[in-house]
Amino acid sequence: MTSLLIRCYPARWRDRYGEEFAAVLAERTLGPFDVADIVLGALDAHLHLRGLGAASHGKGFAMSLRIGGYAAILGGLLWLVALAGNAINNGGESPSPLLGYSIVGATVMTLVALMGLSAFQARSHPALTWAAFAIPAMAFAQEAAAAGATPAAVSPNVAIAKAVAAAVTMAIAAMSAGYAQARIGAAAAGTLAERPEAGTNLIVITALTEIIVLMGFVIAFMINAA
Amino acid sequence: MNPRIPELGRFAEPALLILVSLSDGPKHGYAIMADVEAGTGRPLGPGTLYAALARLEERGFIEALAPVDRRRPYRLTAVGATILAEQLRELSEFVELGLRRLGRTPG
Repeated sequence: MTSLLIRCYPARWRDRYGEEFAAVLAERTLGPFDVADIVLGALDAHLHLRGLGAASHGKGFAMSLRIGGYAAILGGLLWLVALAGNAINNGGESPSPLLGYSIVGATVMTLVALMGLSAFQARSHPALTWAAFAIPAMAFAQEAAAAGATPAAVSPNVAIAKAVAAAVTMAIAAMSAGYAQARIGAAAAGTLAERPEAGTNLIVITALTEIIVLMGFVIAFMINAA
Repeated sequence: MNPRIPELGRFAEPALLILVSLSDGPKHGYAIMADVEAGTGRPLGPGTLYAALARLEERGFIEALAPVDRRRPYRLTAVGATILAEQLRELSEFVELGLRRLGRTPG
């Protein structure tokens, strides 16, 4: 059990602290909270590698920002695939289930991106955060344009107007949700420091703002379909 | 008023407790844990302890001594002592302010 827990830590950390950490763990039986604490500590060591040379400190982005960024890029690509496939498929029969999956995946990725990027660490790299929000929005705009352009009956001006409207709706909704979550996330982090037992409620409050972006998402689809 | 050791985030409080614990002489990991728990009445998990220790060591507030029988003692450095004294002074100013506003004299 003890050795398994220590193995959760990165190898470099184990080289430095492993021995004495094992000695500390051997002092008494570990309760579930101790185990959780060690796992979180191991996660922290993986994310920050603190105490292992000053070179690692301050380099690289916060993990939440990195996950959020990857999710935004992947989400944008999935939107592209889903909406492009849908546009191509428009004239034909029923759409393939793959498109449905990629739409669901893209939505999940967008939510993950919002969660990650709204964390307060993301505020130290505003330009990157903007870029990460812009990629899905651009993919959406592009594809809405493509989807609108395919049926020849609609005039191109209307299609472009619709695409822009949908993109703006989605982008503003996403930014609003991101802004709300940034504020709530910062407050939640502060609250968590003083009242760790409020954690569950804080997650609910933080996730609640996703509704804003979901509203924008729905309306963007309505504009596109109108 | 900033009662936190800068840039330690959620490890600021454990770090402060560890510094206080080390201020009366070097201690190894488990001794710090036991001392903090006895002092505050609240548990300090081993994961939190070592995350805070690593940060403090990285910033040069504490230093590791030669291990004695697997257990490595840590000692407060001069920098650490200065930082700790500053933190404690700020905290005591805060305590005084609070007590004054409550209409109670400190001590």
